[in-house]
Amino acid sequence: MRSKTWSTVLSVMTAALLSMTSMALAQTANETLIVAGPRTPESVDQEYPPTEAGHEARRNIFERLLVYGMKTDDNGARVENFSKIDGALAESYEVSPDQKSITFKLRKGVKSAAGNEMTADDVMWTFKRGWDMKATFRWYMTQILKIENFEAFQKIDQYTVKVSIPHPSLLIDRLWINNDLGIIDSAEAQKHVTAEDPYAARFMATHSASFAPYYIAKYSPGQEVVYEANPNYYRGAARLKKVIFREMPTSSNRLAALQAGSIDVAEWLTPREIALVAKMPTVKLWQVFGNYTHRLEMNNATAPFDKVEVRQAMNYLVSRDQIASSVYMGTARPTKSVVSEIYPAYTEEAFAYDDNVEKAKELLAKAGYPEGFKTQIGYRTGEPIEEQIAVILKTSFARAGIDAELVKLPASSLVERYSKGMLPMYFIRDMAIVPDAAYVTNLFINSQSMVNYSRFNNPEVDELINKALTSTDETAREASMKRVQDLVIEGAPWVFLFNPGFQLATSIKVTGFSWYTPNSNSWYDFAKQ
Amino acid sequence: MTSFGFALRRPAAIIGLSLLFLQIVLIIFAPAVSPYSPTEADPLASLLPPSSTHWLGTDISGMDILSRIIFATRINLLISITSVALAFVIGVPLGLLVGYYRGFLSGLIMRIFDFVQAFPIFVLGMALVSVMGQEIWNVATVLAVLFIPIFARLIRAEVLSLRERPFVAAARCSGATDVDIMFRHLLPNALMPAMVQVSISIGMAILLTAGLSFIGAGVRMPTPEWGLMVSSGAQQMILGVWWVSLFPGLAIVLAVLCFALLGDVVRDLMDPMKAQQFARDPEIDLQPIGDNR
Repeated sequence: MRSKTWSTVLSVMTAALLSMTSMALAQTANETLIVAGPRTPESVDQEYPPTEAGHEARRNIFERLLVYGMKTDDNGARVENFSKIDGALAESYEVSPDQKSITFKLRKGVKSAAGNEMTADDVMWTFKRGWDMKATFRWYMTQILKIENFEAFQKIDQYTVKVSIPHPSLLIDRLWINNDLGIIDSAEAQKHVTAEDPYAARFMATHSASFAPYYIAKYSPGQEVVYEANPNYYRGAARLKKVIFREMPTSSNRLAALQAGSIDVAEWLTPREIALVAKMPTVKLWQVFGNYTHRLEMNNATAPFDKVEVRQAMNYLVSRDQIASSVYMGTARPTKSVVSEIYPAYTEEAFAYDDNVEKAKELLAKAGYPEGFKTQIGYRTGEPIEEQIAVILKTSFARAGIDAELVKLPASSLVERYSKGMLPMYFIRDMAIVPDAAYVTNLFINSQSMVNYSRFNNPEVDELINKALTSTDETAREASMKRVQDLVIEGAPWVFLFNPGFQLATSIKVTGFSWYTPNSNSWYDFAKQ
Repeated sequence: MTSFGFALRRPAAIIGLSLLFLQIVLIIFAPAVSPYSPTEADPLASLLPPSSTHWLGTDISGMDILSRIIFATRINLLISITSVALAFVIGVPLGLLVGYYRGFLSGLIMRIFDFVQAFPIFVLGMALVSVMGQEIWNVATVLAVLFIPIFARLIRAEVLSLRERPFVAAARCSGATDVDIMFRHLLPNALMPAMVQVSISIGMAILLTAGLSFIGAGVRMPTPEWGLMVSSGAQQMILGVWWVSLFPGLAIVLAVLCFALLGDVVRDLMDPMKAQQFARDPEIDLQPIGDNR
């Protein structure tokens, strides 16, 4: 009798223990998101040159002073509302009437994952670090805001910082929304400062120290990055306590893993895979039109692309309709301007390039290449879409006697070669984060820009951009930006291809997708049911 | 009956020779027998399954798979035969030298061979192609570098056993120079294993060429090459598109099988034990290849 009682008690206890364990495991599983993407970030320091993987890390481990408000777009996706700026680490801000200074009132009680409270000292140290490291921050300050020395940055009091600029700028507030300009927990970062490394660059390349929703718990380049929630985050701790980002270079492997349920999110699937995913009951597809341009840039400084007729001819040798249907499966739209079509002041009025071999041949003859020429097209490994388009373009260009050799290179080699002007043609998929035509054109086609890899050089374009950057007359600014877009289409620095859109495939259990201009996911928004 | 006649009595030889004949025909008449251009993309014909229009279907760029397989025969065999020929021409004399002269230099050369062979073959191949560039001739050169030690070691092993034989001493006594001994007396007797190795190495070269292309270190798109075709189709397997990888994969299987079978036949013909069996058969008129004893 006694043994029967004991066995009953034991059974009940075991059942209770199992039930509690399974509940705890379910809770843990719902708080952990497993993401697969093509590559882990090359560095998690915001001063490192921006890349797609790097942008996503920055969005999650750096918090900015300002953010855009959010809205729901026509397709039901949560996107940024470019006409509404909210405070983030800065609770409020004030722009001077002459648009030449901005004063940030910092939010009090904001704490980093390390438990340090944010003050004006953190903001000033971040600014000083960025200024002295002469990389990303310095570029934004000098190229966009035209700041000439560090005196422009002032600590007013423990919770107030002021930035003054020499010329008025309509970007003086919205530039700070950029996720390359996060604020660093200086107390934590300075623990890793050495005489040779005064800004803890070595530490910040692989660790995080900021006031963002997540911090980096593990960074294994080429394998995985583990983000853990900052329990002190000022908007409340994230619902997903852990996000594991795994590197899976092949998109079909990411799709297979999502199908098998071993990951929750698959980034950067190909259009065909997206089409397959759309039919799966266990997968949710999030799509927005986005701001990407996928283009084939030409080196405008070297023959034969130093002749505008040749560049125009290349644009007449693209069958955009065929590529849209066979490569992108209808998920992309042709790019018809240097500016994204979702940004203010966009125009495509001057775009007249269609698939016209005769016109292309006529232009080539005019340029002195009636029989065509030999060239090279560079594209990245692990980018099946680029290879597919490259093969199609090779056939297409051959109709006018252009013999294009396809050169497949690792991303880093490709960037190195085109940035040094060593490739005549190469694919670039890029976007401008700030929704402003002057910012976009300054970034991509101002002859002084460090990312004007095509080396397009039109003095009138440069002058219009430079004026627009310091103009506060919105109407005149818009008119000059439309003129710039017309000139760029006429000058044809690139073979204009497509905006591929932004798609994200997740398990049906995942909710909360929002789209931001850097096309990077903010895991704080997500939840798992 | 000649050795060729004997070979024709063996099913393996018949299959091997038939496959070889088929490949030679495809190499010579590729433009005539291919229904489409092997490198012209047709976006509107992307990933069409096998049909009467495209017998083996099309790939993601709309290129006809049958035409690409036919033209790839040229590329794959060109690379494989070139690389093996190069390795044979360099490896055999090198093996002869290091086997005949045993000194510091011979030791050094053998250690270099150890170094080359100690590397995982694909890692070494990738490293060399990335340095030299993804051209057809570079891939052939890389494979030759990988095969040279194989031929050299085979010849060296034979020479090491032959150089102490009385016929070598006799030749030396009769005033033959080292060159005479090496090339007139040792080489003809040491060559048999290397000859067998040629066929086996061509099969290996086909696999390696395809493997290098599969991992992105071989020839460039849109060059028709079997490994590259398998690689480009692998991405679509999950979408249910099986034909892009399957047919070039079968082409690799058949080509490797062809040279493996031919290698077996050559080995049997040159095996002294087999040769004795052939000699006992009155219908077989084989000439055992002996030394000068």
